[in-house]
Amino acid sequence: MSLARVTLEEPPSVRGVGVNPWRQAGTHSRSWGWLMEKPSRRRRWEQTTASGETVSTKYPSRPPDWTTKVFKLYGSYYDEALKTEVKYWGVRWWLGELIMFFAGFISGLLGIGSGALKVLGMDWAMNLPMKVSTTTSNFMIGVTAATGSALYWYFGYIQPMMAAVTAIGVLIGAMSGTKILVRITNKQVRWVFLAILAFLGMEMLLKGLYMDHIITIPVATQYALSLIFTAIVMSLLYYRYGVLARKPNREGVVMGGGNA
Amino acid sequence: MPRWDMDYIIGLTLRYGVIISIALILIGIVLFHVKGEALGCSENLVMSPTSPINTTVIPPGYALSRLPYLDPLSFIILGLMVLIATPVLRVALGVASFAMERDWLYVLITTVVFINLMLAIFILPSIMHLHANYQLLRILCPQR
Repeated sequence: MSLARVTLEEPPSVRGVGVNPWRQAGTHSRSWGWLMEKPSRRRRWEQTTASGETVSTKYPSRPPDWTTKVFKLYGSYYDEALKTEVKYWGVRWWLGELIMFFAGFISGLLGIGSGALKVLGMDWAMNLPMKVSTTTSNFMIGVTAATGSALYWYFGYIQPMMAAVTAIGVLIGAMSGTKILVRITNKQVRWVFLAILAFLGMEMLLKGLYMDHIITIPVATQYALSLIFTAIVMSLLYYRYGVLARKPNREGVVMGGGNA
Repeated sequence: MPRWDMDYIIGLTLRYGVIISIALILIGIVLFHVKGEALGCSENLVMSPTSPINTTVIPPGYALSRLPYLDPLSFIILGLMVLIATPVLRVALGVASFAMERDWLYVLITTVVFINLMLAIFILPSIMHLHANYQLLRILCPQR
């Protein structure tokens, strides 16, 4: 069935030798499939690249576009987990900019860490590696927070004692998190990110309904419900894309390797 | 031995900014537990979750002037200021770093970010006539 869809989308003759593999690879990253590629989609993608040049990254990567060249969005980092130097580049600066605008807007409005939206903007729109997205977002929060802090300061939203106690906890957490981040793979970071998104999404939904007096569940129960929701979603996702995808398919290719 | 290039200096700035700020905040908390009062306010008043002692009643200048008297809240506020100033300093160093690389596009972008920061931190509060209310602090916590 998936083969039939391939023929509908593109005539097989187009996917021959000499066609830029980046261009073909990019065709699939338009949808949300980047998050956890279905095995069938991944197989299709690997088949197309098998006919062209060999591409080392396993997830759809985009070719550098004009924004990459104008803003020199090239970089590299040493991946502790892979023990190699990873080269990367950012694309679609304008889309990233648009998402960042909403990230800032939502963050100012709701006070939630806009990190979730920023990471989406960088990972999906700008096609940066997950580790680069998370660390950059972490750094950006410092600058954006500093922008808002003076107004918060004079509006009196900062209680020195509260801030002091919180700051120490956050800093310890951030330092240990960074130590762990460099040791794990991008794929593992993405799993953690998914779990946090699932939890935050459910928690905020319940909180919003609670504040509007639509539901009257105690706050502690809200957290428990969100935790249960996250556990269910994550185990379903893990079963679907972690366990099933890891089984070798007919051609003997192991799926779900991911963009480590 | 690491190379003393701009990236390394920026890394050091960020790291030591955070370490200094944690140290100041920790000193403040320890002093608070030793003294049991801060800026003339009692322990219960400061520690309460609904405490009226927030940054609207503590003028930054006044808080810093109490540093030589080892006032706990002065240390905490200085620590928070260092924490806020760290990324600002990093942006300023970023301008220098890009200027050294003669990357004028990024000098421009980083300068815009820096101007934004300065606007938000210094200009905007004074335009909006936002001042900390020292009288309210004295009413809440009469000086002994």
